[in-house]
Amino acid sequence: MKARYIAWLGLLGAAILAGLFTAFRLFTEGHEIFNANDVVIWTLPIGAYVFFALTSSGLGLLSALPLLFGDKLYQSAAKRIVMLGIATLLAAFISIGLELGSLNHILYIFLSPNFASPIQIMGFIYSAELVCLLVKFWRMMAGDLDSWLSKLAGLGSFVTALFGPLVLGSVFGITEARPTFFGSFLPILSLVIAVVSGLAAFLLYSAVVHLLRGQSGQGVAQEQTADAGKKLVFSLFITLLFYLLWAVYRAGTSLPEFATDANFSLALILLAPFLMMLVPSLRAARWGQVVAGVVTLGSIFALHMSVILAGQVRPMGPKAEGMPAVLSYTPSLWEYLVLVLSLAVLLLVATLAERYLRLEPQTS
Amino acid sequence: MPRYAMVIDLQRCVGCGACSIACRNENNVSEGVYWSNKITETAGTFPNVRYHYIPTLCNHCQNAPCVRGCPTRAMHKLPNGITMHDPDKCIGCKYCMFNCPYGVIYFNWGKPHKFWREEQELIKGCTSSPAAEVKAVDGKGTPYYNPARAETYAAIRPKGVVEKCTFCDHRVKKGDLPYCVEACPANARIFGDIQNPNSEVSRLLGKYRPFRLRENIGTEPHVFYIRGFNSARYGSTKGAA
Repeated sequence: MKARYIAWLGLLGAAILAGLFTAFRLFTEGHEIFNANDVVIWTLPIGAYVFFALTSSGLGLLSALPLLFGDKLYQSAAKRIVMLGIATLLAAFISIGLELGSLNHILYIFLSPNFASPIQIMGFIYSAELVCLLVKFWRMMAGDLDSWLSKLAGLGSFVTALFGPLVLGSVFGITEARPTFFGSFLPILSLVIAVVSGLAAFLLYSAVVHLLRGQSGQGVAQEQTADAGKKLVFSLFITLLFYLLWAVYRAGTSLPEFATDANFSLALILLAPFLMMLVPSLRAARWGQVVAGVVTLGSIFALHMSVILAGQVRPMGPKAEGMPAVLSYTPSLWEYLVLVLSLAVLLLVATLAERYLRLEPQTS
Repeated sequence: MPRYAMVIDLQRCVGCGACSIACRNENNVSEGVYWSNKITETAGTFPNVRYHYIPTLCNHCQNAPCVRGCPTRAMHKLPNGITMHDPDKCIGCKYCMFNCPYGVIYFNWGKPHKFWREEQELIKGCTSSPAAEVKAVDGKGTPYYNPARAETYAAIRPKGVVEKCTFCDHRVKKGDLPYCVEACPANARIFGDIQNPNSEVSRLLGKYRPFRLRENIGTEPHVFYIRGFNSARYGSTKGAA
């Protein structure tokens, strides 16, 4: 067991070192090591940021069930959900940090804020979410669920988790220049996807922790994951409905941008976890929860990338000179390593928290 | 306070590209970055073909999406209507590029003028290296370095930030014309105060029906195009073959 644990830490350490080397190259050589260009501007690191940020918001919303709305079932899992939310948000910040070109100018976000900018508001909300989650986690670890500070942090993390995805979607939604994104659809879809991602992350993480610890499929923890499975079914149904709606109304119009629109067939992969979690025996099985969680998160990530790229692959104005009508994009090794670094930090935080902090179910 | 605008006369423009070259010299523009650019199109099927050429630059929009979306106000409006950029405040999020409907904002993906930094001789024992060329003319980054650009803006922008046309604000401030206007051999570019009814810009916009790029999205571009050259003639028929 100990050897496996050390090997796991070694693997995470190697991934983090590779990621840090990527960061070094980025800040010394610039972003030309990415496969982005003046047409396809936002690439894999932005996809990773969107994925982690929305998942963290989903976990924030899930944690509000026990901590704000008094749902007794999830009370024993509250610490784990909040910890996972913090780790996921850290991963999001790493991805966006490495996507930014001039990190030493970041101070101007505070010194010269533009509150008309959705990026500014998104940065503010997600920073506030991190603070709220950290305060909430600190108070929970101290056994304080009832003080004004604990309640304020709980309320704050719920509000930020609710508005974070809406504003993140608005970053894309108010872009008049890009019909693929423009409108109120993406903000709402982002909120729905945040819920799906948060539930899938909790389901997957809980199942993996219990499998690794060889815990039986009984008790409160099992009830929690089974309930999360049911909630996942409902939220996947809503997500599929949204993608179907999106695909249908785009198919009914003739805008050229819609012709290169997101690959909605990817959403059909979400049918697999939806159907799996409909079956009570699969919903209760740990391996079923793991598969459903992995497939859901994997296809959500692919959908994020597909949507982000769909709005950018057609060059605009003079940037179309000498370019094909539609561009293709494959991430560079360094872009993959940004994702690897973010994921490795997430897993390291979770691993250390599981080992050194008391996240186990407690009697309330 | 004037509100600057530019009129581009497409009948006078011959597509020589002098505007783009002049812009590069005046603003120390790096490889891969185009403050002044063009949209070209070949229409029709041979032998009935026609070539269209539209010079482009930042449109200095009244409702500039790049300004609205910039999280740090690095992209901002000057009182004279120029859309200006502050590289010190730019965090490189590229949202302005994402937001700009005209594709006229560029990002410095790597170190600017990197080819001029190379120490290796192009032909060993025969030519000098690019870096030696720069040093020989006491340039900074490029042999054609223009120190005047530094009066209002970073003379050479660092990696990791965006950049775009500023209507040569450093020249306009001194009462000069943007350098692309100055350099145009056909006088196809007319620059001036659109709020002054007696300016040449206002006169031309009243005389000819102008169009602007992607007007329908409400950005209020302040680069106007007038006329269009076409020397072609065709016989008078009722449309029959």
